[in-house]
Order: sequence, then structure tokens, then C-alpha cells
Amino acid sequence: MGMERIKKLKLKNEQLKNLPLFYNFIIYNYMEHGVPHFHFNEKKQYYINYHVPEKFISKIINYDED
Amino acid sequence: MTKIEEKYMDKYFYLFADCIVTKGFSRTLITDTSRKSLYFIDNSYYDTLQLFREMPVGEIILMLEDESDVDLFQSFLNDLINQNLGLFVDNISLLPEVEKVWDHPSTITNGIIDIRDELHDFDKIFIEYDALGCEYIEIRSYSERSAEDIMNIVSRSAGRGLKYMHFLTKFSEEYLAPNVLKEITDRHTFLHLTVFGAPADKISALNNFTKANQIAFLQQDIGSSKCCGRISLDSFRIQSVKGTTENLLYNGCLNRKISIDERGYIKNCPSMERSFGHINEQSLLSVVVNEEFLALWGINKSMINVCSACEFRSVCTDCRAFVNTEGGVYAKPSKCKYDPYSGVWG
Repeated sequence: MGMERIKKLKLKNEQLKNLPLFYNFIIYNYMEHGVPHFHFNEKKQYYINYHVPEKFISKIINYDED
Repeated sequence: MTKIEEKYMDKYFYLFADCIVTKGFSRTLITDTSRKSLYFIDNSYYDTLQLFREMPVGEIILMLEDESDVDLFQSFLNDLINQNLGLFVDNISLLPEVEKVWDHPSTITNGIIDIRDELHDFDKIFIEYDALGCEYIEIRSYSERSAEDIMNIVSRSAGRGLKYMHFLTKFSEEYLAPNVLKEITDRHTFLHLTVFGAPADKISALNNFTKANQIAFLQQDIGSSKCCGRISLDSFRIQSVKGTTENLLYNGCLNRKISIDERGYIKNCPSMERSFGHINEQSLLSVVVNEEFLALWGINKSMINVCSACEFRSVCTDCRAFVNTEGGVYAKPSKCKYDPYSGVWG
């Protein structure tokens, strides 16, 4: 069973100028997360939106190095 | 310099609500949480930003005594507009600031599980993390782990509410075989694998093959949880308004986190000394009501020595495991080399 994709809000240029940026926030996050996807969880009986967290869970990797 | 047109003088300047302003000792930082950008401004503009919500642009200009100040102010306004950080509005009360509150339906949002040679009881662990509503887990193996081992561990989380798992493991020659790791990430699409200690001459080829498969190879070695807590510009991530608010009000690393160290001891963070019992004898649920365990969640950077003067408070997630010897529980993270008083990274 497919899940309807999140669509970008259709806003005119005038509206875009006057609305706070976070009106379109959901689409920015959706694009950043690489391969987010929905999956129906049989045990829990709901859809889970898999995605990477916004912050690093730990700081063990030295991001200054390769 | 373009002067602000007369027609805007009776209007308010609205700094978008998703732009978070943090004043430090030497400069102020504007964090654009939607465009994921950081802007540094001089502290003298911080007070001006506060005035934007109280009076129209024209009234602010009348308060400035020197012509040079007026020019600088107009230049500042132009910069904010050019960077799309705000706009002129008639009635600013219709555009309130984001309320500075944060909460989450889960008791625990994230956790770290360290392993070395022996494995923990992952069935029990995943059941307990799930009961707490945990969404993100990082598993760190400091010893070589077979692909079969990794698959077994990750599979035990099947059917839970996890949204993401990051598995770090030491490099093994077995991973050079094509598809051996890809089979794991293909089966568990919420999994990202990071392999550290990979041979320098093979890194490029390995990453070329795996970069589309949620697998990354690093040359650096990670020997234990003592390697954690690094704070640098590259360790920062600009979060949404929600995440940034949590980061400002609570401890960016430890809030809603529970961890298990490589010996099985339950801790706020595996790098910490203080433990709250062994996972084989204690449940995670019994630890998350312990007041001593919960106390660290509320230590935000405004309470921490030196950090309270740092403009990176909105994006830095702090570290309470490795801190300077002076200052006790509110001491500056010892692995942070930034000096907010000079604005220089050491």
C-alpha cells in the first residue's frame, strides 16, 4: 500500500515574500534527509517515517579528519 | 550604499522567526535554521535586533545620533534583506516570536550502545529502548565485527519504533568483499554504517563503491569511548527550530539520552564514570526516573562556564563527559578549543 508523498506547498511569489520561511520547512527537511521513507510497522500498526536525526548522536568521529 | 526608502520608515523590520540570535562575548550569531546558514554580526547590532520588535525602522533611525551610525544601520538592514533573513511588515504583532519551549512525547529520544568483544543482550535492550519511545540509536563496536554479527544485532531491532540506527565498527578485511556490507544496509534501510580504521590506500575505492549505500569508510582509528566529545566547527549541525530550541534549553547531547557502555553499565553517556547499574540486572525504565540520572539533561550552555559567553550556543551540543578540571559540573568541555572571548579556534 503506497503512502501519498508530501508535496511542496503551492505558493505564489507574492506569498513567498510575505510568509515566514518555515511555511515551506517540511519540504526542505524532506530533501535533506537523503533516503527517508515510510514503512508500515506490522507490530505497531502505524507508518514510520525513517530519517536521519538532526544532530550527531555522539561526537566520537573526528570530523576534522578523513 | 543603498538607503532605505522613505516608504519603509513607518514599517517594522521582521527578522524571520526561524532565525535564532545568540549573543556571545565577542560577536553575535544569527542561525538561519531553515537555510542552514550562520551569520556573524557585531554585538552592537544585537540591541538593534531587539528594537526591531518594539518600534518602526524610522523611529530607530531617529534614536541614532551620528550620521555614520545611520549609514551603518541602513547597511545592516540591507544586508539582512539581501540575505533573506527578514522583511518589512506593517504590524509585527501578527508575527510573534517562536515560543521558547521544548518537549517530546518520548521519554528517551536517542541512545548509545558500546560493545567490544562480548555482545550484550540486544533483545532485552531493544525492547527497553522501544518502551521508552527511542527513535535514534548509535552502536559502536571497538573490535572487529563480522558482517553476520552486525546483521544479527541490527535484525534484533526489527519491528521496533526506531527511525534510524548508526552502526560504527572497526575495519575488517571481510568488508573488502563486494556487497558484504551492502547486503546489510539493503535489508535494513534505516541503517547507516561507518567503518573506521580502514587502510589509507583503500579508502577512496571503498567509499566510491559504498557511498550510495549508506556506508562510509574512515581512516581514523577509534579505540574507545574516550575518543568521544570532540567539539569543532565541523561537529556542529544546524538543526530545525525544534532541535535548536531543545539545544538552547537543555543539554544538547545528554537530554533524553540513555546509554550502555562496553561492559554493560547503564550511563548517561558511555564516556562517563557514573553508572546506574548493569543492563543484565537493571532495566532502562528504572533508571530514567532516577533524579541523579535526569539532572544532567537540564544543564544547558548558558549555565556552563565559558560556554555562556559563546555565540555557538545554538549549534554546539556540548559534552559533559570530558570537562576542564576546574568548574565542576558546569566546567567548559575540555575537547573544545574555541575561545569565545577572542573568537578564535585553538
